[in-house]
Amino acid sequence: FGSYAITINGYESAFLSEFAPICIYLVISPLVSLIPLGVPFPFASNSSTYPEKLSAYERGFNPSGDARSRFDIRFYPVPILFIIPDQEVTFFFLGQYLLTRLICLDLGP
Amino acid sequence: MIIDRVQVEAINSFSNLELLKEVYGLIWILPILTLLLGITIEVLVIVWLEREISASIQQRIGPEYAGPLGLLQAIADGTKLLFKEDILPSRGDIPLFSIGPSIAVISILLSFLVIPLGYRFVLADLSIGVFLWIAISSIAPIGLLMAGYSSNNKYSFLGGLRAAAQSISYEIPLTFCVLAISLLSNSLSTVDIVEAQSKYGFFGWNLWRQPIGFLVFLISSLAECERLPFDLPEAEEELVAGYQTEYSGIKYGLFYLVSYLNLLVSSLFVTVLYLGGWNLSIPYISFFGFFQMNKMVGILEMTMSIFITLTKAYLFLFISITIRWTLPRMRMDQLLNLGWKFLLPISLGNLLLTTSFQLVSL
Repeated sequence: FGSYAITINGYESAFLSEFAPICIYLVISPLVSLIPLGVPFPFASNSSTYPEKLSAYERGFNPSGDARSRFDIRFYPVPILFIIPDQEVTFFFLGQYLLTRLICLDLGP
Repeated sequence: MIIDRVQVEAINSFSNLELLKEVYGLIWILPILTLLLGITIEVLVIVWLEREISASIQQRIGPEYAGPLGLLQAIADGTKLLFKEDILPSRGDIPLFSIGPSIAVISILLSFLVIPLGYRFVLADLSIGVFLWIAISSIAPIGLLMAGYSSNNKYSFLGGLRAAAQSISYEIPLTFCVLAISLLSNSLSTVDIVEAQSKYGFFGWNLWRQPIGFLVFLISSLAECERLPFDLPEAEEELVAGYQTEYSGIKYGLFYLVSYLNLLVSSLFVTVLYLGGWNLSIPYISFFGFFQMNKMVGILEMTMSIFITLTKAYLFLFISITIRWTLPRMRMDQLLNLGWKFLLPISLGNLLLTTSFQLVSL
């Protein structure tokens, strides 16, 4: 029973040790991007606003309609076809792992 | 039984204390901050290099006023961006507009976790290092798409869509090239991949074992970084600045930062995957053998490792900067055709060829 507990703790410790820098890095990275966003706040607040200043860039004339218009639903399968190969690549990694195991176990023709 | 239980609880308490100390203590913050400082300095150097090399190619004078040789120009520009007004478009989505640049920066910064600058000089020597990098590099285009969509500007929207399509198209050939490398090295760890290339000096580089993969990786990396001739998401002559059109001040600066961070990550990964990483790579000569009697060999070895890695990486930075001023921009249909109809089958064939050789060599 004691040996079993030690094994469990050892495995847990090893796992968390390996990913510890990632956990801390995930906290520091948002700070790296949010601090530059926060620092200019006292200086960069909107001092004067008027409609032309805040309107979207359109080379001088008024923007016609919304930039995000509705499109035909039949175009939707095209991005789905884009995404499918991305998923398949993940299974290639699994295949590579199995092949590596095959090589390490010295099996094969 | 009672004694056993007390002992087990004592062991658990001790393990928990060690665990908490290791995970949440200050032991990890210093290396992370050191890495971030190094990254910042390297980005400043890249900005300066780009301007100087561009000026030389175009036979004009580069930055020369801020500091000696204009070295502080990037710092001056960054400080200026900090004081600029943050304009929010009236018809845009303000939350998405603000989150977009942050997501892009965070995802690129995470890639530096698994880049080794020496044998034990890597922040996280994961057994799945390259897989983590590929997964993380899929997140940055989401930030660009959010930026383009939330601006409610036709140019920004097209820029965001182009960025997403381009990234998805070239991510798959890039992944296949990385798969072939990890297949040769029998590992997904970046440190193991470098070690697998260290036997015969530069003759052992994966560059010679994977020449097709190397070229495909280079092209896909340029497309991922949106460098000319693949800068369609920005495309100054067509889309003003693409997804960055409505951005000002430090948010625009963050996109600028993302561009150079991504370029640096790609250059470092070319070095790690194909050019032997931190090894000096002169065949059959042990450089550090001359200093075995000296106790300073550890520090010297680490310094040389960093220097060698960065030297190789800056070779590719130079290539990408030079390519910028020698090749015209592609059209969108040419871009997608190159990715899906040319690079994808070539990289897939390269992977299958590598698999065949690995099986035959059993």
